[in-house]
Amino acid sequence: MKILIVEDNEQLVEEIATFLRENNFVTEYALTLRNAREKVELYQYELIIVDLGLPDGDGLDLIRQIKEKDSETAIIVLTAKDSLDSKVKGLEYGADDYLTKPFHKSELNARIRSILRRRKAGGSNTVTVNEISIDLNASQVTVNNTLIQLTRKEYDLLLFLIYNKNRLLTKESIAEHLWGDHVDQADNFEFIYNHIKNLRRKITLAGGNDYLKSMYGMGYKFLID
Amino acid sequence: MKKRRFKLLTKVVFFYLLFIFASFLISAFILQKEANEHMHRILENRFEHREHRIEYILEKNPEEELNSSWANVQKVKKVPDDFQPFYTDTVMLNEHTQRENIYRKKNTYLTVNENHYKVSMTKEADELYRFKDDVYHIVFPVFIVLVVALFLSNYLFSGYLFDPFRRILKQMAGYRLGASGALDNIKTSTYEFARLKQLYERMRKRIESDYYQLKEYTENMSHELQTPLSIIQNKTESLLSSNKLDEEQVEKLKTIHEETRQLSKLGKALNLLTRIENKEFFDIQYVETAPVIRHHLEKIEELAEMKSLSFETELDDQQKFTIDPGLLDIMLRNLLKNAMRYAQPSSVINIKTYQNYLVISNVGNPPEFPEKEIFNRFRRGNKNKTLGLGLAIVKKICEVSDLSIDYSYHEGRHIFTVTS
Repeated sequence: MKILIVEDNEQLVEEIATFLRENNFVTEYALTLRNAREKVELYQYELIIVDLGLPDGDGLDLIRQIKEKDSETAIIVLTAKDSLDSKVKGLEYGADDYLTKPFHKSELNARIRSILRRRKAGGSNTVTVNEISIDLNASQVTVNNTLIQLTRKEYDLLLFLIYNKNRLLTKESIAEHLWGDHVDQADNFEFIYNHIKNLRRKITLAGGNDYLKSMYGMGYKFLID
Repeated sequence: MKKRRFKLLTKVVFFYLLFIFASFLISAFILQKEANEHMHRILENRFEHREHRIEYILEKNPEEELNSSWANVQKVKKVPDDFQPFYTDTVMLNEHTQRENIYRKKNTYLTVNENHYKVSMTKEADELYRFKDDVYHIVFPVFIVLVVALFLSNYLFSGYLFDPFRRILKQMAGYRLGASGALDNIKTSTYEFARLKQLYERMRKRIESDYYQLKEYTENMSHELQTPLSIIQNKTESLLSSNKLDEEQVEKLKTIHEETRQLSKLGKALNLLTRIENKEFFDIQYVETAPVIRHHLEKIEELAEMKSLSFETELDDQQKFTIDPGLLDIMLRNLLKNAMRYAQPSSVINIKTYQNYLVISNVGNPPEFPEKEIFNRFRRGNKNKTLGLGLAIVKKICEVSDLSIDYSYHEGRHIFTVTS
């Protein structure tokens, strides 16, 4: 599982690389468009994360090159531009998804997994954590082999938590993951609590453990020892 | 009263004619004067011939006193001091033709063999006057022909002559920053137009270079800002993942986290404002508002429930605005966000569209500042930790999209009306 990170800020590259390694991905990075072009020519990557604003060129050129060479490679665009046009352009050239800076690593992780899952067509596709098992193809969750009924939001929330297990997920990042841009409309993120509460209740009712820990009132963690 | 404006060519022709008229008058005057002098010389010549003849006669016969149509001679004692010959013109009947003609009479004194004579002679001067009149008779018709010719050529050629000018103007009128505004190849052999074209081109290039520099600056600013903010945000989140923090540390980290978020949003909002101002969103379409509003309401339904807010909609499916769809989306989002933020809990937010307008209203406390300041940047209700840019963005969007937006506070409701 090899991921190439194309981003000119070394700090950010380091941050993402460390994070992805913790999530069992093999990472490489390129700080310039030129370097990225060379790497893409020489090696095969499953996924490439591209910042659009590179010092020596536009990340969109790289996307074009990747797509010409090998359309199997998944692409996630990072952009600080927050402009509809460059996002749309990125997707037109064949990027699979985009994230605007500043982004949450947990969100990046969720997006990567979601893309990779979509690419893995056919076969069973489940995520299992102890007694909890999620069938990604059917969007079904079982606890101790008992099917539990979750709402769409609860299902997304659980998947997001599990993808980012043992890591703090701020209320804000959860809200953004579940509601996207519209989360701006909210005064605060207290409403997350309702969803957490319901999710916790449904899991424990089916005999599951309570993995959801509140962290400093900032957010939640899916804690597995 | 509006000052009347004239076409350049008309003006030029008008002044040209004034000038020509003056020069015609002057030349006519000079011509007439020349003619006068010329005729005078001819007449004088003839009078002198006559004087010689009279002298000749008087030499032979000093007592001869002529009294005929061509000369009248009287003997006098002496010539008055400082006497100058003088002329008078009179109309007299010509004996041969029986027509009234103009005659010139010369009065002078002659001294022949120390005898003094008073002499007056008359000579027909009709030709002279006729010539004088002829000058005007020729000058005026020529002038009138010139006037007609000039106006005619003005009318016929202005289209051709000013065509490059009009084309340059048309392109200038259609110019929009950021779009490729290079002049089409307008060929002209007129110096002024070529110069105009050249200067316009130079000006456009300078403006565009300034514009792109500014745009680059804003974009760089936004871009370069977001990356470090990403790092700060991620680092604080990493720290917060630790279990070994005390309460004070957590509070500080929370503040850093929250402020970073604010800073990032601020950068993005200001960047968006600038980009709207620069008219970078120009995919103008005739957009139905009802589906966009419904989409937004669906997305925020749950958020509204947290505050027990409900929506009451009255949407006209035919209602459309001529606007960039992206901008319409941002505008509605900000208006709804504003309504939700300042709405009293458990109240109703009204959304109504009809024909050419859209109204969003919510129950809330009276504004803490004058109504017209509500769209100013960084104007916000004191209770909220918001950017204070949402409504400024809405206003800006309306401005660039030729929509008008009004705010009023009426019977406990904040009412925003967008009219096309």
